[in-house]
Amino acid sequence: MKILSRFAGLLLSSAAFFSPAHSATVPAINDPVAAVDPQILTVALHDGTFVGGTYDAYYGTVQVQATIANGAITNVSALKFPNHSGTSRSINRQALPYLLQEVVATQSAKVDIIGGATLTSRAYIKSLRDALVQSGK
Amino acid sequence: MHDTRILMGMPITVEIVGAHDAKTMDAVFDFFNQVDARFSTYKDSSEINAFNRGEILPANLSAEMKEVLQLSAITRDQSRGYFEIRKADGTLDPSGIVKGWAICNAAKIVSADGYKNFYIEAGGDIQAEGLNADGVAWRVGIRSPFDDQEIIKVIALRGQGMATSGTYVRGQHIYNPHDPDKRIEDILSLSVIGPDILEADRFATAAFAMGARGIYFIENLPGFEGYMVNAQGIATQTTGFGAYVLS
Repeated sequence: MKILSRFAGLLLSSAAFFSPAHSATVPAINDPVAAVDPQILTVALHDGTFVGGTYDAYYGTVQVQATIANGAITNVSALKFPNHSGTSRSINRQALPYLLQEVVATQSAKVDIIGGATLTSRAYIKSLRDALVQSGK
Repeated sequence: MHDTRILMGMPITVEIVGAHDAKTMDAVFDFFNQVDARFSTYKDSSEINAFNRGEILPANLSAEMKEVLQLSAITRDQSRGYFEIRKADGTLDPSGIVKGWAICNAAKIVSADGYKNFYIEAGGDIQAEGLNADGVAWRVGIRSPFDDQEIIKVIALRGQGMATSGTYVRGQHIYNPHDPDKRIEDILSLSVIGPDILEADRFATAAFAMGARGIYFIENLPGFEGYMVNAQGIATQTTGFGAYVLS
């Protein structure tokens, strides 16, 4: 049993899209409610890769995949998310003052630095640990 | 010279163009270690925890702690109470401002050693000075709140700071002090560009607590720009944000 409140935000961001895994290839999360309400997220997680359902996010569909290892979430990635290149456009003109809106789209340009609040610190540490294990063999 | 170390529970990266010895780099990381020892709410021995336990009188706090607490009070007023470090149990948790404050002071250490072209990034918050090794403005990607392997915007920073507040880091670490039980769900992340990382960080934290209205708070703040992403994958940007956008 893992207390997963530390990961609450992770699931919060995907809570609207994340279904208890429907795929036959993945074990179901014991308590579907726990996956929706991060405040009571105290489910036992089985190892494996969990694929959530595909959900309409109004401007596109969203589907996420979570990888569980040793009872902890090791990765969550979006298999699908609203990503229509070239569809940047103004939406919701009722907003005052008027601010430009766009559908977020993945960029492939080379960058020096990556910013943004993230799980990356965790991912980074895991990756680093893996690398250290590899290097120790 | 480029180095990444894990301090304060997060990777911190420093790149100093043209640095040939580790003196400045070491001084920067030493400073982050001192900040962690003083401000960490996870360390029993930290000054903030000792203060919260009533073991230190306000008058006896370090100059650094006094400065951070004063900055917190100013930010609370400037954000009409949305930035609040006093928790429901009465203790103080200045984590929402310490990172930006620390990066800002670390940048001063590097500048004081004569370097003009460098950046410091801690947990996704950035201060970028001068130009990169190719002689152009630092190119900064804003990470997708939907997938941390993707970037959704590329901007150029030259002397500014960029901080991001989000619900997807370390759990729900920001709440609306005017309605503590209500989770901030409608927006996933708000990245703020400001005159420096301290300014960007404290206003990003405050504006994020306002929910979807936070971007308008940034819009009305002279010298600041913002990029907000909601749960539907729609980004809203302030009027001047486009000037920083590369792609």
